[in-house]
Amino acid sequence: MTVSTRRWLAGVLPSLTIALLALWWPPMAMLLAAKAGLVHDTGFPRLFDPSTLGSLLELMLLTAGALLMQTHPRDGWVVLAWSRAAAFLRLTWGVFVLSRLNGIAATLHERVIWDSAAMLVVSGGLLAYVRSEFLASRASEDQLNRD
Amino acid sequence: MAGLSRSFDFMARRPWLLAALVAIAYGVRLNDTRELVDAAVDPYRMALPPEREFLYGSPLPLFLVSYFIHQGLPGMAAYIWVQVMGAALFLVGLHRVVGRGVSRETRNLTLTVLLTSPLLVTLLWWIGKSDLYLLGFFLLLTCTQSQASPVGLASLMIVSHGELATIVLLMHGLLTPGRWRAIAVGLIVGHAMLAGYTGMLSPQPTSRADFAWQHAAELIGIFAATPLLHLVTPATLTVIYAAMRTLTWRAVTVLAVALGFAIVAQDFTRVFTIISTPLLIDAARTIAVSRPSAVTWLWPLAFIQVHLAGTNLLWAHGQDIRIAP
Repeated sequence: MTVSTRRWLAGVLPSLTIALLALWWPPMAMLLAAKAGLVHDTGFPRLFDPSTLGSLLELMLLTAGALLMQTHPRDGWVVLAWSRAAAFLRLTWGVFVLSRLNGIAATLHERVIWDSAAMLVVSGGLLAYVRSEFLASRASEDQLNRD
Repeated sequence: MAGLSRSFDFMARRPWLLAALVAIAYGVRLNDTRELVDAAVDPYRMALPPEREFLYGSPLPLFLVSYFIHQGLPGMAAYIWVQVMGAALFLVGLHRVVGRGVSRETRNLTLTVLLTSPLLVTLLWWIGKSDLYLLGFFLLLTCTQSQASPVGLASLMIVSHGELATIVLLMHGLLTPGRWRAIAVGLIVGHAMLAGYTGMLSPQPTSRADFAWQHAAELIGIFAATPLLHLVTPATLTVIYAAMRTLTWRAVTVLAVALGFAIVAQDFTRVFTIISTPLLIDAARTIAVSRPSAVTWLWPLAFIQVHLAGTNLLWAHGQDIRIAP
């Protein structure tokens, strides 16, 4: 892919992150409300189960990253990279729990695991691909400060 | 007199306060609430009566509501959140189009002029019609510098509202001839996505174009019965464009096309306003820059037009026409 493609992807990354957050926060708020007993609960009534906490951590890091990208692009990129680490932890926990319940073979047939893994690879790859654009933005910021 | 002038000036420079006051005083209207939620439960199965099948021609909001419903949100909450997302998209687009390269004062005056146009009522009273997504993507398209983004934004416009988006994009191409390639690719991709979706439905849903074609005689009859009422908005805008000396042949063509399509649409003023939005924004910008003092006395129009629209004195719209079984 060309430099202009990378530049374009770096330009739309904040918008993509915000769109993702708009799609993800309402279901998460609903889940938290259900687990906190604020609305009718349909499942596991614990607010602090590791799976929910993992999702919440990932979502908060994504939110912080999207906000930082508006003012400090490089710092925003770093926080978004940490959100991928949180996503990896969440996926690992999911595999661990499901394999304990159903066995490894059945877990590897779960579509949700493969969806999460694919999204993690795609988003991580995208972040790695546009990294140089955000490092360049920091370099130009530093140059401006020196001037 | 000086106190009155100061208070008018205060309001003219606070467009969001003006919009909020109009919304509080006259309310907002939600459209197609139950139909959208019903269809969103399973967007691949026809669940709407024939006269509402046109909603399948706006798959983006439909699939967004469907996504949130399947993520556990109640139907109404999903509907409202999708409208909030649309409003946020529209405001971001508006901010980029109106706010770039001008002072804060000029931006606020431009917004105030826009709020005195029928755009305000179109947005407040037709919530749920996917106009917010259509116009939001369009505004972002008009100000993007990228070569690739217009293709994606044009495609998203098409999947927001197939028919209106096509006309708005063609009119944009006419007003901005340098962007034809991106618009053409966006049109093709968007319509391919739309056709791919509606092709999966059985039987095929009645589109807005089918509806207009089947009921053209009745819709033209509505226009012919009250032509003056219908022509108030187009005539007012034409006079404003002429006074601002922005009435080129391209602008006249856009106004004529907008009028033509509005006549065979159910919501005359809404359709006319949306198609002529690019001109509306240009005129608002011109007025704010060239005659800022005039804007001071203009803002009461926002209240007056909504008030008259509420009493059906100055708001031309079609009427529900049921398709005979």
